[in-house]
Amino acid sequence: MSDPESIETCGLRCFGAISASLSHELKNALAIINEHAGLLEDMMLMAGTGRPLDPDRLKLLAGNVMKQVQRADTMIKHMNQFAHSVDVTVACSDLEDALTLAIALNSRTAVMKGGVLVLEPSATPVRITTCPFWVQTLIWRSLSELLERAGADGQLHLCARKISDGAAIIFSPVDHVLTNIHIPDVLNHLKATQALDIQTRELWIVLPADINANRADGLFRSCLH
Amino acid sequence: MRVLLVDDEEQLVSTLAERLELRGIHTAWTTGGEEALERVKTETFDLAVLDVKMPKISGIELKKKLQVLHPAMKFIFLTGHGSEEDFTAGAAEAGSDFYLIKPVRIEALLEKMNEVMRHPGKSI
Repeated sequence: MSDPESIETCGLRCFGAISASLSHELKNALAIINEHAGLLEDMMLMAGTGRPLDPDRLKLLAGNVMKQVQRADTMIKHMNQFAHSVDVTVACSDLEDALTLAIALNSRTAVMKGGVLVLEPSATPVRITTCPFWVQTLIWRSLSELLERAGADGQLHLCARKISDGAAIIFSPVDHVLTNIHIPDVLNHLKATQALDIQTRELWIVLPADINANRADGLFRSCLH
Repeated sequence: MRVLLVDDEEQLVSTLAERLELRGIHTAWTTGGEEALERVKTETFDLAVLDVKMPKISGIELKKKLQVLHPAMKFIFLTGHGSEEDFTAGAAEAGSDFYLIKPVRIEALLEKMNEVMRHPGKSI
């Protein structure tokens, strides 16, 4: 078990880890573009010495460059979306959208650990009022532990499900010997609970439908402010 | 000089290999450590250029495995790390000063390759 850490430290580590992972992937996209530009330059130099240019090859290289630009653009959009998750303390949003973003943000880390993240579409929209940044932190922290124990094929499924008094994020399959994951401060902050179903190998994180409900002053204090 | 390039980004490693071949350097490439370990069973390389962060086997782990099989092999690391300081720590652990940060200029890579090969006795 890792040492307990404060929620502020956990949030900062999440921000740092995701930024580092995405910037690393951006570097790879830039490196591919760089090599393609270099190869085009090499081909132009060879053309100057009489070696004919191959139009099909040029088309392929140009297509590869465009794909990498699109890849980088998508990563930057996700990075931007994540960065803006701290703009509001509490917001009403679709939990499945949050899972989609989380999968995009954590995919590379998953691959590095030999895992694959899969979104299981929910049957109905799962809208809740919660803290967007801390939900991402919760998912990141959960994945950090769960990916170490993913199934034989390395797949870890994530699903958002509406329940009577809120919503659940369900991770499966998880190791049957897994106990609760160690994120008590983040869970408390989100007024969430976790439960492990050993038979189905599912870990449920249950979030309230409205984080502001049941609070005497109707306000929610954020650790970010 | 026979070079083995290993990076999980296929478009990067294949294009870089092609550019080295155009410069007269015999270059083979793989997209992972396991494939690289298979490859060295049947082929001999003077130098391996390894990405640091790869799935399953990191570049640093791969270097250690390749060194056991081919003690004379030399190594250069490629990294996407933004921070040189971070990478220096990783490279120090692997016992190598020879690394380049992506995106790499081919002239810088060639220079580094020649530098590595000029030091046959150095443990890198």
